[in-house]
Amino acid sequence: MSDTSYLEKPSSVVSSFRIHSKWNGMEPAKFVLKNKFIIDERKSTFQHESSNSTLENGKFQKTFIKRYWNEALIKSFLDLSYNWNGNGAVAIDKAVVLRAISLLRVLDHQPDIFPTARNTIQFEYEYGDDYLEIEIFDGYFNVYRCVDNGETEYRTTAFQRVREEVLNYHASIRNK
Amino acid sequence: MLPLEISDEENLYRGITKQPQLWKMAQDRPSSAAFKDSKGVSVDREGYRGEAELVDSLNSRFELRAIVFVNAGYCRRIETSPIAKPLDDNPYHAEIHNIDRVELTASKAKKLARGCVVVTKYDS
Repeated sequence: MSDTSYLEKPSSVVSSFRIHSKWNGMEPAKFVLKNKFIIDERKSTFQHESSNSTLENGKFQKTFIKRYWNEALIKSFLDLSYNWNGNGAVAIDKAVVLRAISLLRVLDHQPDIFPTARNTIQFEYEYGDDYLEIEIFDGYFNVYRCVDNGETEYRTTAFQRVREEVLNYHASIRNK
Repeated sequence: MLPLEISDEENLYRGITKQPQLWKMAQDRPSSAAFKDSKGVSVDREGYRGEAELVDSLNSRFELRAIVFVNAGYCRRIETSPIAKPLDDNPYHAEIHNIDRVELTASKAKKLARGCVVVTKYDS
């Protein structure tokens, strides 16, 4: 059975973050939030439990808040009304929404996110002409990369492969 | 009556919805997600209308963030097919399909998003 616990409204998690901000002055500690993020106050880092990488505190708040903003956005696609695009499009299936949220939680960089009228959710990164798109279908990802005018497109079911693709994309644009 | 053959000179108009948001603020143009539709990309031909009438028509059907157009010749150059699909209540209706099937690839949807011209934008 699918774990749907994270389909609850994100406000409760955001409020956990606010509580955390009041922890200043308390004994530094390592907290595991309900949402599986690990905050290590001693090291001032933030990490998803399924991720090996950490973020420094300065980037932490921005990433943390954008991630929850993005989660709320993805969940809102469940409630799209019939014909939302004027051409008979329907709300995005729960399986696709769950898959998108699961992917979002393992990504180190937050994407721009859009629904499509073919029951998919699209993650986009764009820097100048360099572009990375992950389209989340029910059961797989379609990855499309256009970097230095070279195009690549493939399907995968592997979250880790998509995560590495996002890391590689950001590594490549950092050098420009 | 409009001819069923869409000429290369025709522009094909599309409303970009406000909700859900399909507009990329940083790039000031639509996401390619706006051009992914399992039924084909729905567009309106200008026909014998003026642009103002066409804009009013699109606005009467949706709450829009923007109206854009793509040129039919451009659609063909990127290997997509603009096809006239008049409806009872909209004789100007057309669809953009892939060459060998309805749905566009990621690459072609991106080319449409980058190749479209913004006609008008509304407050986000």
